[in-house]
Amino acid sequence: MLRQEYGKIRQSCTFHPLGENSFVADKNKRSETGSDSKAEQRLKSFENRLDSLDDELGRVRSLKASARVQNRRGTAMGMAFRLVTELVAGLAVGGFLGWWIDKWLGTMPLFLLIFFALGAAAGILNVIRVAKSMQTGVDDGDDTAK
Amino acid sequence: MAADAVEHGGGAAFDPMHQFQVKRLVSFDVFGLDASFTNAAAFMVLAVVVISVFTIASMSGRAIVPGRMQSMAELSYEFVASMIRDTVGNAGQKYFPFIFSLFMFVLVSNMLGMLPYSFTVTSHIAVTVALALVVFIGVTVIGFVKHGVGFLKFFVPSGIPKALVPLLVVIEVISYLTRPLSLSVRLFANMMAGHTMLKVFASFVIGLGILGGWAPLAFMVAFTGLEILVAFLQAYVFAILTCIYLNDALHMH
Repeated sequence: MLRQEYGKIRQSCTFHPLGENSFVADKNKRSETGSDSKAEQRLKSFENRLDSLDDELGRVRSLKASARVQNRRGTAMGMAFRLVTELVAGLAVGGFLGWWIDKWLGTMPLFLLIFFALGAAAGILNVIRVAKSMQTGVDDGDDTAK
Repeated sequence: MAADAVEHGGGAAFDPMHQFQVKRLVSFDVFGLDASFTNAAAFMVLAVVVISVFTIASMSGRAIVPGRMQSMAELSYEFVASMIRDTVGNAGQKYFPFIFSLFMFVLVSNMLGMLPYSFTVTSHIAVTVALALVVFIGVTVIGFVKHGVGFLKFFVPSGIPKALVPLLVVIEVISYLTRPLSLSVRLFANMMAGHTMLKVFASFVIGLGILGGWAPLAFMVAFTGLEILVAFLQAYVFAILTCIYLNDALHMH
């Protein structure tokens, strides 16, 4: 039933998967034409069907939005793993940079120690950023629930 | 008899890392470089073939009301398109082909790895680092092309005392350089840990025999389901982080 409706309406409008207002534009175009009563009736029923489809689409969109938030939260293990890799990657990159500069300048432990600390700082910065983005994801979910 | 026992005890029968071995299928030697066609390369080619056949064959009908296969192809298209629209906005649509290819390649490689006797391409850090470096270098080039030298302002956080600027710039640069590493390590470690764990529990099933083997077998069934989820989730994470990095390069904030 819905599948047939979808097919008909999809046939009558140009369907842009990336556009938002493709249905509305088509509705306006339709209301300008149509002179006799039969055509008007058909137009009325078509518009009704479009409205119901709009409602349906809105429902699906809100469902999708809440699913997306769910998705962004991910599994707890995935979240923990993400934070850990950020921290370790910061340390590794900092340590490597320091080691590389030391090898280049011949000042062995100096820059290694400095950049190891800086790498730790960068890793913690990344962890805070990721955790913040996870936090906003949770807030979005609460908004859509209201 | 003794040799048999040695063979069984000597790691050949129980080696959870055996599945990650790269073997040469056809040997090539290009000016001293070992460019052999390995099983890893074969599975990468297989992934590309599977993606091409899936998208081209399922969209060849171009039905107005999509069938099952076409629905799947349209779904994957819409999934990536909405992901780009949500994270990058309209400016990101130019990069849709790249992100779609990346997402599909990682997803199909992960999924092919779930088949028995197959090889998981993404469980090798060489592969994931190559993918992450393409993203990292590409995004950095896009940033410099869009904003010129102004892209360097990305590394200067706003609203801080002047004295702290040099220190924070260094930290920001390190934090930027960690992106390819964390991106590649996350994918590689997830795939490798999961597949190793599957092999270890499979050996428990054999080791405990017909009486005790059911418990690890039940766990393995559940864990395989989780691994399929992880395979999808990691492809999603890889793609969405690419989108986020692209957004940083395009809009700088």
